Amino acid sequence: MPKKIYTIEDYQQAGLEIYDKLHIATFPVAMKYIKDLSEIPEGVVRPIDKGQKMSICQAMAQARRWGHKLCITEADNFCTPSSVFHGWVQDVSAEELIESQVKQEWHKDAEAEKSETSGMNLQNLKTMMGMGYIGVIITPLHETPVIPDSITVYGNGLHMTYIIHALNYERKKKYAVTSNFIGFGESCGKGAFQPFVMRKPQFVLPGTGDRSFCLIDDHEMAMGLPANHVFYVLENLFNSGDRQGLKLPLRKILPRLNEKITPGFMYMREVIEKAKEKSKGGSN
Amino acid sequence: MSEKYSIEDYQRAGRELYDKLHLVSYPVAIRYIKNLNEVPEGVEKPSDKGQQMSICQAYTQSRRWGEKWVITQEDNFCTPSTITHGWVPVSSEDFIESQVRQQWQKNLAAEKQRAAKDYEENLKRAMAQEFIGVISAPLQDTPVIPHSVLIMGSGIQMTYIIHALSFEKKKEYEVKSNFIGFGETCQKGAFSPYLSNKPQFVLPGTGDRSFCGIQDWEVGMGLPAEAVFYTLENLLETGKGRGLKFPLRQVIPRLNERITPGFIFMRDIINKSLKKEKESS
Repeated sequence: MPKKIYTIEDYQQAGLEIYDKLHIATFPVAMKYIKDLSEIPEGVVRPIDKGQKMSICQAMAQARRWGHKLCITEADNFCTPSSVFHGWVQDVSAEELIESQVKQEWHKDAEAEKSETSGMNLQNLKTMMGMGYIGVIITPLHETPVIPDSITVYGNGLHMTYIIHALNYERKKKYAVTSNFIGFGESCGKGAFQPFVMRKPQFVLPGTGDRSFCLIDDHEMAMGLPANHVFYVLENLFNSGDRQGLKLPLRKILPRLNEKITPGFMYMREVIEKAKEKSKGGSN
Repeated sequence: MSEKYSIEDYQRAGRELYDKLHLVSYPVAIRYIKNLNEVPEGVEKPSDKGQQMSICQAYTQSRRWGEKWVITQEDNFCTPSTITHGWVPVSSEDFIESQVRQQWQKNLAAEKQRAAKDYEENLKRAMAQEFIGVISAPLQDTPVIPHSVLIMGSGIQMTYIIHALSFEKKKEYEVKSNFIGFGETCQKGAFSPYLSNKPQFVLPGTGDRSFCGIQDWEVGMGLPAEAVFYTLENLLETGKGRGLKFPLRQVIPRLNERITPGFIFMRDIINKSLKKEKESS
């Protein structure tokens, strides 16, 4: 069977559906990586054109909360390590990247930083640089002007469970959610670029940028999806467990109790019974 | 007396509030009854199944499961709330004694002060109403014209509602609430808005938190039933284009690389790299 090609309108519709069906607090975000500035559609704004700078996670926050459409390139992005990790700047050496991270003092010492940065990240960095991207277009999904590469859906823990249940409904390997956590680069890397490059969904526990620059709520988390996975999520949303599965609203089973739970309740039950007897006697 | 709004109007309002505010549970329609023959078909009584349920549990079942319940004294294991709703007349002494046994307050004097005041100000009034129970249903599916509506949600969802209620600064919609940490949903979120015809902000109390699996972040608004229409009329109107909207538009800080040493270091590297690239091309 030929692979279904989704249109911009399909994605916009999916954006509305995810937002409305999950009752999430902010719009799902569409991410599209670009190789040339000529790919930026009308209505998408670059912060630098207004003399401002913005990190990728800030642009994602602007899109999901304000509905803004933004394009971030290295010139716009004050979070310079993320420009490098996205491969937007060539000829940055491993040593220079490590040095920038050591200066941040995120990890205990240079040794720890080297181990963190020189592993998977450097491997990735070479791949990213080879991809030739120069920036990313970030918009609310329901108004995306482009076919997105990935989609980030923010919500609370329960919202993520609904999405995870949908992705796992058929237990297909390609939709399995397996994620590593280091507390950095969560929205921009794990929530957007990685799902695009790896074609796998990623669970996002907001990181340092999200929490420092983006006013993210403590309870918020997210799911990063390869863009067309959004249709699979919608197809299977709330199907898990059929009628007895988790639904929206969440149906929690309450304890079945009686008056014996506290002494005051018991005392008042006795008083009520006496009052009932008395009123029965009075009415005879 | 004919009602200003029909059952269908209330059901529609229930759906609108649920969808426009992206609530996590349905608004609850609450109606007090004087006779069991007022209970419509499809509304269940826990004691008919040999079970008991507190009023706050019934509201939870309605808002989360979409169930319709009627709670009377025999259904309600939270016996003090049976009394505070006036379903069974009792003396002030008995009411105070039941509260003393719970040890909610520091000592007898504190309990007397609280419970005696409550008895004089509220219980006598409640008993005079001669109600025997309450019907609880999800508003969007209510089978009766409600007396009050309870909406549970997050802090921001309550702010949206408060802005709507305060939009014209009409005294009748003013939100002014006292807090004691007890009887929040059953009393303040439902019975009090009905009796006083005033909205009440609800910070879930002991029953909600002990029996109802409420989330730490959940709060609520109790409305005299008709106030839902006023709320909908003014929802998200405050501040027009620049007020709080849905999604909540937070203003994020405008920053640049100077915020951390690693960012500045990498900016220098990037600029050098770009310069090199330019020169070579």
